[in-house]
Amino acid sequence: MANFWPQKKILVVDDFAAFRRSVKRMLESFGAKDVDDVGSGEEAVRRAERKAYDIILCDYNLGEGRKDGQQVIEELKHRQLLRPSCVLVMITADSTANMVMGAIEYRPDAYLLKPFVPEILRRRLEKFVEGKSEFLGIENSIKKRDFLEAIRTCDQKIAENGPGRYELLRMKGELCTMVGDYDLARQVYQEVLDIRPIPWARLGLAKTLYLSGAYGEARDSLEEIIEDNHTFTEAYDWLAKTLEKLGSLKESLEILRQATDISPKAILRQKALAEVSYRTRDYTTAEQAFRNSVALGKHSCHKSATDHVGLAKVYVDQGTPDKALQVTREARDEFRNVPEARMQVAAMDGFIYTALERPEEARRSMKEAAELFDKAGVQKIPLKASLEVARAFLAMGEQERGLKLAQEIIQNNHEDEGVLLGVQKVFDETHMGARGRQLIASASEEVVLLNNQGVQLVEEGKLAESIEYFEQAVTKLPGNKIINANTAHALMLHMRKFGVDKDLLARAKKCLDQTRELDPSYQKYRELLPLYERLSSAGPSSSVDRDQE
Amino acid sequence: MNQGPENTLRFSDILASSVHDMKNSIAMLLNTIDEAIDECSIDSSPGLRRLSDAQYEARRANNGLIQLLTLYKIHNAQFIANISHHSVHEFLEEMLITSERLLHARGIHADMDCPSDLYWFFDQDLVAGVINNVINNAFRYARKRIRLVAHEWQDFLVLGVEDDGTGYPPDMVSGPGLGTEKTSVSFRTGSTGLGFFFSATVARLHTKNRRQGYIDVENGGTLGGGCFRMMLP
Repeated sequence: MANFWPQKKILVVDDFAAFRRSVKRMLESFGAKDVDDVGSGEEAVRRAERKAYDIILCDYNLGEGRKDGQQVIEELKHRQLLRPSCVLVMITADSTANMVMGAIEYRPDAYLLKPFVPEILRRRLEKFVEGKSEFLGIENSIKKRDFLEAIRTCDQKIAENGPGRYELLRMKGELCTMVGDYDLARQVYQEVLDIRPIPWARLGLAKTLYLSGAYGEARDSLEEIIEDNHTFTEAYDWLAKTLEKLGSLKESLEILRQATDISPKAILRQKALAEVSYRTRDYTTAEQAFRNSVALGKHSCHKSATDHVGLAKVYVDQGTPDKALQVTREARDEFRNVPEARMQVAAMDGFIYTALERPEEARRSMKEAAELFDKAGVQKIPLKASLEVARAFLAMGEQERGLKLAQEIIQNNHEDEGVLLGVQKVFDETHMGARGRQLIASASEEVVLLNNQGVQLVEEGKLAESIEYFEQAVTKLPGNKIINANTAHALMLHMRKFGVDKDLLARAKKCLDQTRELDPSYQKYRELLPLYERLSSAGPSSSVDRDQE
Repeated sequence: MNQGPENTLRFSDILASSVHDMKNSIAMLLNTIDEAIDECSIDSSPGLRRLSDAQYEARRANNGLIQLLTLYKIHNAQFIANISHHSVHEFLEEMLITSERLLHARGIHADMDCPSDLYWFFDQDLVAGVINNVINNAFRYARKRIRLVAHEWQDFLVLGVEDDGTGYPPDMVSGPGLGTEKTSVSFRTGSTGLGFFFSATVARLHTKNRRQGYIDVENGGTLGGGCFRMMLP
């Protein structure tokens, strides 16, 4: 380890100056030569912008009203300010912070409870750096969104039966959940639970129940988990989602309230709270939660104009459109370089100026929204936000674009009853109910026809033709999961018959990835995965026709 | 207007953030003492013994705050044990390293007896809080030696701290319900019983198939003095 410390670039983040200097002295006593220390998360991010650190030690609690350690990590990782091998250690004053888990991509590599003597710091850091190299391959695959490769690496390492086994099982469970392989995920969690009722494994199992649509069972097990672990806020989040699916909006709201009381800085939870309270017309809660989402989002990977628009909507509904105007003004500034966000904001302004009875400005806003729509489209914004934009177009004189956008939404989700109902509601609200029903029928039929013709080509064995046909269809409807899945299927059937081809494999993977992004729990996607696995491990130009599904 | 609940809420917030602040100060104090001890050890300064007394008291205060904070959180249902799989050998090694300065300054030799391939499920930070506290106590009563022991026994992990002192008073040894509210009075001189209460609470947070962790003390062991044990399923 002679060369270990002198080469490391280290950053220490703690609001308590004496403590961070003492940690710095410890590091220097190990031989570290390049140690920076800063007093706030904001400053830490600025440092990381300029220097690629090997180790970052960050205190969880960085002072009242400031970014906390978890938020610092989210920003560093989201903005990709860290080199892949960088070890991020969260220092905590009490051990409960460990349970703030969040998404797999935004977790620290390790936790360290203070106080600690220098020898412990040294031992742990050396161990963390070594352990990181163990996980590096998996993390790189995750970053490239090659989850199957990440799972394969997990399996190899699990088979080695080393000390990191449970961490690997946990990661594998989450990865399997991400790619929609809920059966395998369930197996992984059950394997852990047979040994210990560990909260993360119990939650993992409950998530698979939710994702496979077993909402009743999911609710029961989530309630049990919370009963045993009152501060496990992630379980509250999933329970709230489950209750929403079961139609108990009021109960869902109550659960989200409890969870935000326990941990008020989690932005995704604030967003969920805002959404649900708005739907139950609890405007006081909605206003506060949207405000919190906007404030927490400022430097976050979860920053979104949807929160500003939501807040503005609350004000319009409450009869204070002037306040709404203030919000959208801030949003315009905040998102000046993001056309799709500006489109959402401009559409909202249309509603606000209408409420203010300033028709000229309303028209101007809608014109701006229309131009931005032509330029940016709605691919990058959430479905609910696109529905809002469609509503604005239809309500305020941009009918042509409103219909075009509605058609796009219908065709991307032509089998999703909930989405189609949402579209119909937009038409009802703009007094075009009959037109909506007509459009939904014709637009859906068009997709069905398009898909059926492709399927027929496959069934007739015209595989090359079917590929060409589906790839054209996918260009037309890039947001439709069924077309994406069937395109991948056609490509893979071709390879199964005529041998694996690197280019075809890549094209199939692209469609599969797109399908997963659209709906990770889509049955057909899961059914296609094993075939893709076989083809990609078979290697080029080998025919794998023998193992029929 | 009924302002009662709001005031209580605010007070517990202040309490929690003050404890956090105090823990920061003590963490700092402990680091400073460590550095001072290292400096004094080089020229074997006569202040060394007094520094180790200061360290003992600072560790005591730190342990007390950890215990209070943890118990407060458990009491308010704000706590989840973070149970995962750890190497017991590495864990005990770290316990020895953490206490090394303290014991060394007093000429107490500490060692451990634990199979290197022993792994167990436990909350590392919580159990470290217990063991640190017991070592700190043993420091006052040991003559020359302290030993950390660990082995598996009837599907329990047994973690023990033994010393070569005069042992626990007779009424403590194998008294029923050690560490429960009923018996949590006067543990050796000057003790509030907090330590035992905390240890027993931590042990009970470890459960498996309806079996719960527990603690006990006895006299004897391999060093002939006090002997604290924690059994984790």
